[in-house]
Amino acid sequence: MLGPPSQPSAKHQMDQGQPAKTETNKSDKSAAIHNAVARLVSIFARPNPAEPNKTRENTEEVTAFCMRILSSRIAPTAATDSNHVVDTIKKRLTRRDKSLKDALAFTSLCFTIDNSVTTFLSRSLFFIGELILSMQADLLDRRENPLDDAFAVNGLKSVRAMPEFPKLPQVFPDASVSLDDTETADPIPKYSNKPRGPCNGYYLIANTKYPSTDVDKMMHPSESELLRDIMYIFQDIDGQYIKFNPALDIFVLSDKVWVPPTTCENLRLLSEVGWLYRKVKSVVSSWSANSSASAEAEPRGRFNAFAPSAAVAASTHTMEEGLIRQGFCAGIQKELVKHFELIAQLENQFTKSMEPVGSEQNVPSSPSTEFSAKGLSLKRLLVWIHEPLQKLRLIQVLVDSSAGLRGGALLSMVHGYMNHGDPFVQELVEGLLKQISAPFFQMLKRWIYEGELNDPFQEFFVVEDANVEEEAMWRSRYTLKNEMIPSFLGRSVAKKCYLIGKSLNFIRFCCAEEAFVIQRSQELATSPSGLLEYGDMAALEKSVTSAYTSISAHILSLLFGKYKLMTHLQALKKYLLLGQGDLVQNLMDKLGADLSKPANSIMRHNLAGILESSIRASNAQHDDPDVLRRLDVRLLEVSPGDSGWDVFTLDYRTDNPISTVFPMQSMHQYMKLFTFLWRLKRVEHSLSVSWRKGMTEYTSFRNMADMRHYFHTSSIVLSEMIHFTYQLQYYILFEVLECSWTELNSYLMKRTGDLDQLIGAHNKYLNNITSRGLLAATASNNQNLFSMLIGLFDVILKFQTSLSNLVELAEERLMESKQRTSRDYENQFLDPRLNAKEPTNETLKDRISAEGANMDEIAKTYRADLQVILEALTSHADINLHGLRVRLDYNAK
Amino acid sequence: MDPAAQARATLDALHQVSQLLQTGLDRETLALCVSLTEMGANPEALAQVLKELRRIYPS
Repeated sequence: MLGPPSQPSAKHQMDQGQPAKTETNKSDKSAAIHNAVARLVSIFARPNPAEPNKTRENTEEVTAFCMRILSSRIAPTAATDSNHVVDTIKKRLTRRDKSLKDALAFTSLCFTIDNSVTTFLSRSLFFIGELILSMQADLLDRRENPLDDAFAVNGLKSVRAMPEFPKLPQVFPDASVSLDDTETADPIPKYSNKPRGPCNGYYLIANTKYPSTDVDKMMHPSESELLRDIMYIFQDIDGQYIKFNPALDIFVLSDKVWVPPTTCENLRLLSEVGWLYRKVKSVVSSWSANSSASAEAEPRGRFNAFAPSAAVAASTHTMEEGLIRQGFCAGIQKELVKHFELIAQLENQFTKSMEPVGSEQNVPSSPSTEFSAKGLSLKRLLVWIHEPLQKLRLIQVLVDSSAGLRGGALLSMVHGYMNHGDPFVQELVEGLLKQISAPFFQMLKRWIYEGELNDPFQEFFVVEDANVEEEAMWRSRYTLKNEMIPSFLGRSVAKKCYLIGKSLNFIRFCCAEEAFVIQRSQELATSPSGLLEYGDMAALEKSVTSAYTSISAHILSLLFGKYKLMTHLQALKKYLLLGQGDLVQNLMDKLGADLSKPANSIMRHNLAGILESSIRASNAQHDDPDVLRRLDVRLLEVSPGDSGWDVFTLDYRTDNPISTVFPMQSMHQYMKLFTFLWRLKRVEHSLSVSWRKGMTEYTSFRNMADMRHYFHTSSIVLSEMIHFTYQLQYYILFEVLECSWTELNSYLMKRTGDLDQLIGAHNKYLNNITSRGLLAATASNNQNLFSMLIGLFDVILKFQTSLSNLVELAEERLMESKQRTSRDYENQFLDPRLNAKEPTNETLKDRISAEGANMDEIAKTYRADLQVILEALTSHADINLHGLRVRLDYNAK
Repeated sequence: MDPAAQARATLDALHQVSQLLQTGLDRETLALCVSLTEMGANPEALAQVLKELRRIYPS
């Protein structure tokens, strides 16, 4: 094993002060190796600060031991290619840490090493790599089985496929110590709390090292005696020689017995069955409510322990764990019954082998007659037990991984093993799954046929909140619990099942159509496709999908037919989004006076009266009386200083099935839109009033030279404002409202999807309007735009007030000058001295110029504000708004 | 670069690799291991030795 001589300079460096001898002969070299090993040992044997007296007591011995290992023939594994080593390390790092950070660091280190490598190191380099690798592999092995690793993605614990022949214990010190110490010596403490199982595949300890002189004094049990013991162990009963040691969690062969090492090995392998059975049984019975009772019911008789416990335990399972867990227990119990059947057969064989030779002819003739004639032996048992052992292993793994899981999650876990590559495992799991999923499918059936949630232990994937009112039934009464969806069902099917049940309840309680639900459940229960059980998932999916489609279609037809959803949608658009122009015009005319009052002096019933008369005066009177009944006036919360305009809004009341489509939130959105549109309408209305007034009255002011200027500018500003409001209205009406409505309408006409999708479409419609009608508060930019617009409306209204003030002043002036003219005329005949300038004239003039200046100021503000808005529109992300910007710009720059 | 510095650099790199892989070996031990493999020790056997040492002297 000694390699070619290495360069002394390197050795000197590496050994850090090792005497730099030129190794010319073999003895020198082995001395150096011995020296190095001794140093290595001394590094490890450094006194622990906690226990200073536990110093290098046996370093000599340990060094010798290490030398032995080194000189043993542990062959290097096949790969001695440094690229392979590097690749393997990289793969491990990648698997450990998905971020690849470590792997990248490692790659760069490899590069460094490669660069600095000189001849003396190149050979040993990948040896070191391999050394690190094999240590690493060892660490990984301790943490998890490589197979565990392979299945880690799916979270499956591995089921060992073949009985592993355990590695022979290390030569040093002895087997029992290595059994005890492997766990405690684990350098990574966080893995040490892993469930402790027998180590390295040992399920039985036997002391095989006795001085040969002792062997004669000990008992030498015959094979049949050992067989009998093994049979007991299979049933978790202590035998004569082999007993279970609870402290070590392992079977122990009595000290007084000597068996040959080969037999001992066989016993070890066989005892795994007993160990697994013991584990499974203890766990399953701990699930039972009165495990003690069932344990007592279990006969303690030796070979008669033929599973009467199964029936008892199955009936008394604890209720806390739920029905699915009970199903799981029942399934496992069934498998355990099979285990007992097997033992009974083995026992049969065993007794046959004990019988005298004469009776052997009774054995049914078969090709293996001569074998079976010999009865049972440990070796033969080992072969026969292979399949049941596999089964028990699988069950044990299932039981282990099921801890803490319940309901759908438990089903998912078991179903995960359907992906196991071994057909044997698949078959077993399928059988178990049928058993386990029975209660689940019972629940599912009730849910999708009748809409009833019969789930006393919260195991189903739908959870009901009984406190939710009928109003909010669709939205929040039932919720889907993702972790409880069994994996064989699949997300989409589960979602459909959930919607089916929800729809059924909706139809029954909100639409008062119970008869339909009952009829449907009867139809389905009798139809052959109504049978639900684990197995044909495609058929299940198909029937669920068809049920889902039909129930969704039924709900839609109910909503559109019986509950006139379309009419309500149209009514909302007409009244809340000001689609019915004549009504709005009429309202505006009639409400104007009332709404100018302070908000707290407005009476709702007055407004309601006006609304009613407006309806009668407009085309709205021909609308459905049911719709008109729902239309109402609502006053928002009054804050000080508000006028009637700020708090007035129209309301549209919806009741139960329909209100599912129009929840509170949507209605708020509608009202917000209404407030905005109403404001815009008001601005437009008052602008047109002023314009009309101007057209008729300004001619009479034409002769007043000092006022003409004001009216001229006011006309220009007014027409700018009118342009602005018209364009804005046009945009909102045609580009926002009507476009969104067409979109919604075309979806509704299709009559597809379920209620959720319908609600979604309506929400999308509203959101579209809100965001594109400059109202959305999504981006800060948009929010600004909205408040800017509102501000601009206020400026326009202020301008109007100022303008009407001016008009009043002008009228006053006109009146006065008329009076003066007539007075002058009269005065001609009286004292001419009285024809002096009157002081009132002066104050009026001041007031006029002050008001005029005020109006100019407002006009300036308006133009500046509008400019800001236009700029905001130019930089807006929505391309549609750029067109609006161009249109809003009066001078179309 | 003289051989000694080069060797030290390589050892540094190896030490970092071993830390990345969480072997828990310190520099001194690693240096000894390098020299042992230099002398022709089978690395897998050496790994076995280290494991045994760790088991015998649990820290």
